[in-house]
Amino acid sequence: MAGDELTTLVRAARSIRPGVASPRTLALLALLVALALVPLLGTYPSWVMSQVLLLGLFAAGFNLLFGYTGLLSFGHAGLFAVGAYTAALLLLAYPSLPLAVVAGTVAAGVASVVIGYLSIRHTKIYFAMLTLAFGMMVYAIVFKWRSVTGGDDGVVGVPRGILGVPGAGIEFGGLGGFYYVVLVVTVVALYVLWRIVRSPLGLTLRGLRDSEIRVAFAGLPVRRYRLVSFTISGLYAGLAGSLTAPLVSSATPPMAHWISSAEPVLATLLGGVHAFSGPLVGAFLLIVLKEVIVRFTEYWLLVLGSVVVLLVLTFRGGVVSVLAPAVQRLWSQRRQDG
Amino acid sequence: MDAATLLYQGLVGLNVAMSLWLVAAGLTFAFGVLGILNFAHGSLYMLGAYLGFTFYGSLDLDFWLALPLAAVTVGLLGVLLERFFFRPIYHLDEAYHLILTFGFVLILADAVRIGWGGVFLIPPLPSGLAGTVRILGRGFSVYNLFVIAAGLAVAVALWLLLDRTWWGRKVRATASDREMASTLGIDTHRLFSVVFGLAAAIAGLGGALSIPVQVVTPGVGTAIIIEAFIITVIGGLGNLSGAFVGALIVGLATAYGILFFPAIELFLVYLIMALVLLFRPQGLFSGR
Amino acid sequence: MAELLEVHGLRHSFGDFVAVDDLDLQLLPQRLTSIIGPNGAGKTTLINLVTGLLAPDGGRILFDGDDITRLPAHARVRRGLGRSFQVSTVFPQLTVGENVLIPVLARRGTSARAFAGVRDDAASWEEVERRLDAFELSSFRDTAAGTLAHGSERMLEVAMALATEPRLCLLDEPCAGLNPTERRRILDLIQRLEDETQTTFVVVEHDMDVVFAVSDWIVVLDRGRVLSEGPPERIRSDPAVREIYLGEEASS
Repeated sequence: MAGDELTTLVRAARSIRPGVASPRTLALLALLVALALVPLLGTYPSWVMSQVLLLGLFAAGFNLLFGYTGLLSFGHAGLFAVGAYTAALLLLAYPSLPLAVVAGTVAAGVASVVIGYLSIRHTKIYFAMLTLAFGMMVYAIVFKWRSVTGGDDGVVGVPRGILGVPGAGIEFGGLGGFYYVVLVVTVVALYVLWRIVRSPLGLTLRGLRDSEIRVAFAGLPVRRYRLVSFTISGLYAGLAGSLTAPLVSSATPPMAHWISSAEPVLATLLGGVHAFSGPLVGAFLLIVLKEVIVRFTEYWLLVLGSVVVLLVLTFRGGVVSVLAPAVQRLWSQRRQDG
Repeated sequence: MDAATLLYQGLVGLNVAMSLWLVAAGLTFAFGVLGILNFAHGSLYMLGAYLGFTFYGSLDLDFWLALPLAAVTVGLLGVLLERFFFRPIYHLDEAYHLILTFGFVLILADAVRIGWGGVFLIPPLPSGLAGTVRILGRGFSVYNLFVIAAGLAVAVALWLLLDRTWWGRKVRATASDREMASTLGIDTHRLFSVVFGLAAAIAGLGGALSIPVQVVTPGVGTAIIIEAFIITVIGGLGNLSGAFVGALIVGLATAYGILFFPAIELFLVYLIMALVLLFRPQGLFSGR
Repeated sequence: MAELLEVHGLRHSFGDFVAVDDLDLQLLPQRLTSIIGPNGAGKTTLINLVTGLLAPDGGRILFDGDDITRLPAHARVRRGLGRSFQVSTVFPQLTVGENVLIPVLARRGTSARAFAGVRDDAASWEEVERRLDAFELSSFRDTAAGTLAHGSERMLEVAMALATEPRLCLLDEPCAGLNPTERRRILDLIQRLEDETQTTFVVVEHDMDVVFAVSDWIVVLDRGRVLSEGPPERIRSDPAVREIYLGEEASS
C-alpha cells in the first residue's frame, strides 16, 4: 500500500513539472533526429534504412496479429505482394506516389478482409496453414498471370513517381527524397499503431491471445475482433509493400512466397514479441546484420537460422526483453548518482 | 484425348504421388506422435538427396547400399534434432515449433551449399533399373515404376509396424495420450527420438530415391515441404492413412492438372488445401 | 413472479452418451439456486447449453421471455447472462486490473475504441477498483493474473463474470480446488451479492454442507434430467435424492 502511494506521489510530482520531458521522450526525439539525418550520410545508408523502416512497418503490423492477438500468419507475404503489385502497376500507368500507396494499401485491406474472414475461423496451427494456403494462392496468381503481372519476371522498371499528381507535384531527385517519404509514412503509421495498441481495442486483442473464451463471455464477438486484427495487420503489410515496390523498382513473385512471410516473423522474434518496439528493433538488426554478415560470408542464412534456433531455445522475449531491463537499471542508477 | 492417354497420365500421377508420400509420411507421423509440425522436414528430404548423391554418384557405392546409408544418416540426424532441439520446446506454443523448425530450414539450405556447392548433374540410373517398359503404348521408365513400388512398400511397412507390433501399440498409445503413456511405463523420451528418427529416415530415403531422376538444389527443401503440408492437411493432421490418400490426390491432381488446366494447376492445389482446412479441418478421411 | 430462465425439452448428446435428456427447468429471479448431482449428471453440459458454449440437439431456452436458443454466447452475455468456469479462464498475461477492465469495457460498449487510451478512462478504472475491492483483490491490481495463487484466481474468475453485470450468473464450481475456509468466503460473498445486487445466481457445487447452507432452491440432476427440486429442507429429506447420494458414497 505504501509503495502504491509513493508511486502516485511521484506521478503527481512529475506532472506538475511541465516542460521537462521524460527520458523516453528525449530518446525518441533523438532517434527521430538521427533518422532524419541519414540521407546526409549518402545513398547506401538511405537505402539500408529505407529497408529497415519498411520491414519494421510490416513487422510491427504483423505483430498486432502475432504478439498481441496470438495468431501466427504465414500468409502475410501475400498481402504485402498485393500492395506491392497494385502500387507497381499503378505507378507504371500513372506516376503518382500518394495515389499508388493509397491504392496498394486499400487493395491489401480488401484482400485482408476476404482472406481474414475465411482464415479466422481457425486458430493456432490450422490458422497458420490456412493463411499459408491463401498467401500461396496470391503467389500462384502473380506467378501465372503473365499478361498482367509479368509472371516470374515480375513488374519491373517501376518508377518512384512524384509526390502529388503528374503536372503538379514534387520530384524526388535521388533516393534521399524518397527516404523522407518512407520515414514520414512509417512514423505516422507507427504512431497510429501505438495508439491502437494502448486503446481498449488493443486490450481486447491481448485478451483474445490469453483467453478467447473469456472474451466471448465478456460479451464480445471473438471472430469479429480477430478479423479486425487481421485486417489492420494486412493494411500495414500492404502499406509496406506499396512503398517497397517503388523503392526496389519492381514487384516480383518471391515477395508473395511463404518464405517471405517468415521475414516479419523473424524480425518480431529477434526484437521481441511482447514489446511494441520489438519488431522495429528486430527489423533493424535483421537488415543491418545481413548487410554486415554478407560482407564476410555468403552463408547468411546459416547465421540467421542459428540465431533463430538460439532465440527460440533461450531468449523468446527477444533482444528488447534482454536490453530493456538493463537500460532501465542504468537510468535509475544514474538518477540515484545524480 | 483417348483413354490410353488418360490412364497413362494416371500412372504419371501415381509416380508423383509416391514421391510426395515419402515426404508426407514422416511429416504426418512425427506430427501425430510428437505434435511438432516440422517445417524442416522437406530439408531432411533434400539432405537425403545430397547424401544419396555423394554415396552413389561420387563415392561410387552400390545403389542398393547408398539408399539405406543415406536414409540411416538422415535418420540419425533426426534423432539428434529431436533430442537436443525439439525436446526443450514441446511445452511451448505451436507457433514456436513452426519458427524453430523454420530456423533449421535456413540452416540446412546453407549447410548443403557449403557441403556440396551449387547444382549437380544427375547420376546415371542404376543398372538394373535403367530403360523403359511399354505401358499403354508408351514408354514408362522402369526407375519410376521402382519409385512407385518403394512408396507402396514404405506404406505397407509403416502399417505393419504401427498396427501389428508391440512397439506400434506403444506409439499409438503415446500419440493419443502422452501422459497416460508415461504413467503406464512407456519411455516417451526414447520413443519420441525413435519416431522422429524414423520419420527423418523415410524423408532421407525419399530424397535419395529422387537423385537419378531429379536435379537437387538447396531450394528443393522449401518447395517440397509445402506439397507435403498440403497432403498432410488433406489427410488430416497426424493421420497416416489419410496422408497416403492425400498424396494420391495431390499426385493425380498435379498430373491431370497439367494436362487440363496448365495455367491454374499451382493455384488449384492451394485451393484444395484451403477448402479442406475450411470445411474438413480434421481431414477428408477422418471419421471423427 | 415471471421466470428469468425457462428450459424446455433440452437435449444434448456426445456420441452415444446422452448428457442432457429432454430436460425442463425454470429459474425465478432473486432466488439463489444450486444445481447438484452425481458426476456425469449433466450439470456442466446444462450450463454450457444455457450459455451458448454448446448447441443443443433439441429443445428451447427462453431468457426473460425471449428465445435465445440460437444466439451465440457473446450475444447472450449482452442480454444479461453471465458465467464463470470450473477451470479458470482469466487472462494470465494481463494484470488483475486489466482482467476486470475487459468485461467492464465490453459492458460499456467501448471495447472497440481504437484511439482512446485505456489508461485515460478514469470512470471505468474506478469501477474496476470498486470490483477488485469487493473481491479482496485490490492489492493485486497490477500483478499478472497468471501469477495469482489459486484462491485469488478463483475470486478473479467470479469477479470477471460479475463485471458484465449479468441478471443471471451461472457459476460452474466456483470453489473448485479451494479449502473449506476459502470456499466459505466465496459463497458468503455470493450470498451477499445476491442480496445487494440485481443478479440472480446459479451455482454448481459439490460440497453438500455449503450448498444447503447458502441456497434458496436446489435442483438435483441425475442422468441428464431433473430428479428433484425444491427448498433445501425438502431436498434434504427427499428419499430419491438420498438414494443417489448415499448410493454414490457407498460405491466410492
